[in-house]
Amino acid sequence: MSTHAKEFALKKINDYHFFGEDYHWFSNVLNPQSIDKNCTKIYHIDGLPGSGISTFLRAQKELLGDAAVDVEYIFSMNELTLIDHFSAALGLRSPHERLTTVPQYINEYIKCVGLKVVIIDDVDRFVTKPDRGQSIVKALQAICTAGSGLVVLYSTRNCMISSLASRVSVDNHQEFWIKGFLNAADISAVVKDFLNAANVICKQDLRIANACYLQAASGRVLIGDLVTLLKSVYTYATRLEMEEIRLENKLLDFLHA
Amino acid sequence: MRRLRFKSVGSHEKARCYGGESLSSWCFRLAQFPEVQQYLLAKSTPGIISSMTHLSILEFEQSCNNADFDFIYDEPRKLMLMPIIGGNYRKFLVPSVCIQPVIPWQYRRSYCCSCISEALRVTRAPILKSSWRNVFEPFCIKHGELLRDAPPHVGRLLDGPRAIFKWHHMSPNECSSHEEYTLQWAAFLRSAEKVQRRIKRLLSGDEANVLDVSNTILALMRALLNPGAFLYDHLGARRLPDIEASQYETMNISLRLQVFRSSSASRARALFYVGVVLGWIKEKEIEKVSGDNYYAPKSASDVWGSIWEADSKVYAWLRSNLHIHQNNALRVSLPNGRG
Repeated sequence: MSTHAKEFALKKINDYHFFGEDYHWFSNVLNPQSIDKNCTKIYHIDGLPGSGISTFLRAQKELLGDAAVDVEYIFSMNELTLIDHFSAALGLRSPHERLTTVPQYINEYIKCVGLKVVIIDDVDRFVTKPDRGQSIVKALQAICTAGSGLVVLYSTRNCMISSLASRVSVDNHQEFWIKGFLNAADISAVVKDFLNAANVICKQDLRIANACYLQAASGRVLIGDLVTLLKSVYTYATRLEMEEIRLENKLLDFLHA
Repeated sequence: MRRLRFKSVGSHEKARCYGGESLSSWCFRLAQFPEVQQYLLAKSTPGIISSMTHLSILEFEQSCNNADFDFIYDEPRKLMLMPIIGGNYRKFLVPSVCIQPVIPWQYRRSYCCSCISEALRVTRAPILKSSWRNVFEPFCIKHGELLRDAPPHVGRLLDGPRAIFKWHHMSPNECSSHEEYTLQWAAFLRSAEKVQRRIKRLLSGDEANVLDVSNTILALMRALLNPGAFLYDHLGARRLPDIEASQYETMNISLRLQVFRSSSASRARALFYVGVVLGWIKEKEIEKVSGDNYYAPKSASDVWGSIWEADSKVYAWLRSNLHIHQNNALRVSLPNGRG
């Protein structure tokens, strides 16, 4: 629920220029046409929990389309390295392979398909050795230089990894802080759409008191908090927790339609 | 409902069958899509082929006695393709490319790296084309380049396209030797390519004669590539090795298998001498394009002579074959006074 709803919320938020100038600057940086082939960069996407880091990375993947690849975690009895996962995301990994460096065929593949950006959400998942993140940082650098230059976006909750990465690659490493706060206009727009859709589906008349809006607007609200709040309101009103996912899918379909 | 879901995958650009892509290559690519994997899993409960449906389509193909879905019409193929591909399966049931002999799965290894690179931009995964397994086509139809050959253990893997792509970029020595060879024999290969094009035109002609034409050329190639013939151990073959015969293989088996096991370079040379024998390449051209190999045949009679000298039984076999298959489209007569 939370991811889909967040995505929807983010779409709304983008319309209100929620990320402001930073967002557009970042979009320009990731624009495939403006990426310098010889310029390799590692961006650490950071922010408070629930501020929409994963959602932001997904949105970037959608924005860039085929020029970006999203590295996902694969369960395996043998511990796979970050480069193994990267190779699998490209669709090039054979089951018998164990990669510690980026091989030549991956470089050629990247050149052929014109890959520009690699997105790694929550890089901590790929830690295989208790080495204070050294192997992960090494892998990040290897991926960064693959195919004569890629832009890597990663997020992590592990301070050791991010600080080591910034120390090791001083010139290439950059941080991007997502504020992830909603203002009063955003809150009212998102909540209004959400409730409208929910009311059509469950044939009820859910409302949120104006006092709540005012209270929310007085302090800044995180996207994650807002989504959790809406989710609990919706569950309480409908009392259909078991059917939650199915209904929410319907709800989202309706919202997108 | 399931078919509808699959359609949405099939309509995706990356999931479409690339022009000329072999069915096995396409199936392997499709099997990488999570939607297709889920579909295969969901299909396994009341499946049409019950015990087999937990396999991917490619593994299924391998387990069915090495049946090759690319080229052979088969009932299991229909059963497997119909629920997965839907209405599109029909176009794969027509054995359209079976006119000329096809290299079997265990010997498949030829590829064109330009085609693979071009396809990568669309499909984002390496592919293999079915035409690379045609015995009479050692040159890429699109780029006119001599096909490259990966080692047989790489080509016959389930993920052959991916393995070949990897092998190509991980072994620079083999690639450079191929480039050296094509540079050294550029004129020779151009003539061989002309022969390939002429054969292709003949095979696309009158349907009544097509099979005889195909058999005639196959018989000639077999005789030229048989163990003991000069082409078996030619300069190119040493550089770009053919697949070796097994230890206890008889002459009869080698004669039939060698044409499938030989590298693209060997097949191209065989095609050149087929052109010489058929009178498509004149003696002046032979002199011009042949290297300084003293033992290489310089005329059609030299080629016949070399076949006879290699093995008189093969010569007799060839004569009877040509006699059976000769027709108006392609008439070959052996010189008198031999055999």
